Amino acid sequence: MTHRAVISGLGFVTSIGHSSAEVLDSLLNLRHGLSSWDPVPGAESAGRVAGLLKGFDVSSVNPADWTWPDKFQINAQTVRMMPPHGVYALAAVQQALEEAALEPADLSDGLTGLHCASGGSPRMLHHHLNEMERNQWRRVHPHAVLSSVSGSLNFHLGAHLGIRGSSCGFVSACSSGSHALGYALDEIRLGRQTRMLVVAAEDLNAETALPFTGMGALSLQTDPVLASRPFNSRRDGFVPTGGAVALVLERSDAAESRGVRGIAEMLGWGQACDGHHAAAPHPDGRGLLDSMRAALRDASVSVPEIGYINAHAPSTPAGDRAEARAIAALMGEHRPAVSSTKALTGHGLSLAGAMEAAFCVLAIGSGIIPGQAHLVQPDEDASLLNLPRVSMRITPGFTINNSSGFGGSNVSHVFAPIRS
Amino acid sequence: MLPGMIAFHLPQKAPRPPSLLEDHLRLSEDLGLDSLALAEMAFKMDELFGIPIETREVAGIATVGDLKAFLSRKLLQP
Repeated sequence: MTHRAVISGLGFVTSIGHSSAEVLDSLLNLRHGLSSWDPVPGAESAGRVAGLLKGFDVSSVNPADWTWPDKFQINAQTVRMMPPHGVYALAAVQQALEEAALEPADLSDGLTGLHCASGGSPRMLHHHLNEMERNQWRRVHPHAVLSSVSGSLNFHLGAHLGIRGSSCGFVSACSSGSHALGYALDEIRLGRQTRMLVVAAEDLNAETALPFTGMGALSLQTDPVLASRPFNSRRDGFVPTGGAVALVLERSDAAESRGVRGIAEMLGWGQACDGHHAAAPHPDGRGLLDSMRAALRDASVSVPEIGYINAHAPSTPAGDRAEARAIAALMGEHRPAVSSTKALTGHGLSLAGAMEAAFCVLAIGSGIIPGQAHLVQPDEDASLLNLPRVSMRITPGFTINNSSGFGGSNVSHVFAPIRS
Repeated sequence: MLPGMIAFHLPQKAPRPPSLLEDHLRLSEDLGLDSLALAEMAFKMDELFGIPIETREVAGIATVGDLKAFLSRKLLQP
């Protein structure tokens, strides 16, 4: 028997808000969270705009210096071994558990799993390796590994939350968060778990963002309004962001038995690789086209039923073009609303897929379709898409969330309103 | 200072005020300190006092009193 799954809780630490209410308001009013950024004071680096996480300061390499908004119940001892994005993750998890009406003890029932996505903390790794080299490789902080490597997020959250079910981290670059959620759905449908906590998080600092300047992927704009312009003819790269998103995915009957209806249903997912290049997408988005087809098959949803697509489109020339072609090829005469919310948030890398999945869930639950911010003149390929310039108070119905990562790793999810 | 440092590294589920950290208490069995917490404390002592302390030196320390004695010896070393 294949089980149905609903999302019953969401948590956000994003550049456009640290709660569902704040994020919804930003999506509805297309209020972006991008600001001027000086990642290395005095340096003349590119990447002068970013989606900052207001109220959080995790810039120090010493966790004792970190601060966060008072509304988040985070213990300084808990975070002392964590990467900086662990703080964001704890804040997001707190919200998601509250919305899902779950107590901490519920997570240790052996039927609750944890899937995480994060690229680790290059900043902490950079710091600890520098220190070790300075000490002739003799002396290294005991937390050097735990605070930095990919996987550190699931190490810490699994232990802190007392998870006794499955626990796994996903690393597929910018589709990591989407893989974490997709495989979480499989865990539930296969009957292995009744509930999955999916957490994606990413640092925002020079070490995470600036290496992308080497491949010309970051926008060179200094004006926050002009920097992240998905599908626009004059886009020139992505704007980095960090933060965290948490989603509680539950077997629908298990949620109902607790008196929880859920916010939206996750109907299916699919993935397909471009098989083309380590960094550049296939020019026609062939992997993304296949991943959308696979997701629709898995969800038993047909093209004409799709009401909204949250595009991956990071505002890079090649990425947006490939996705526009893939969507146009799949949709044909059907023209669902399409938007990339990265115009508002910036690109969260490993976080992006889960963040945008959570936006889709929020949009379905709240009856809105986010518009395409910062769009002045769509390029030739994007002109084939229906890109609403403003958000609409319309229930999106069946919704696709796309993600694409390095290596042409593409993931698509399908969500729907809760069936009454 | 040492009782405060030990108290900070104790597992959160069994907090104990520094004033109750008597010398006979065993770091692992009574206080729940694991080897990573001991290594972290060694690193901090190294930083604070400028005395090189290897992780393996603290690995076998059993009680609060032993830890105090170890630190005293290290501080008196020329």
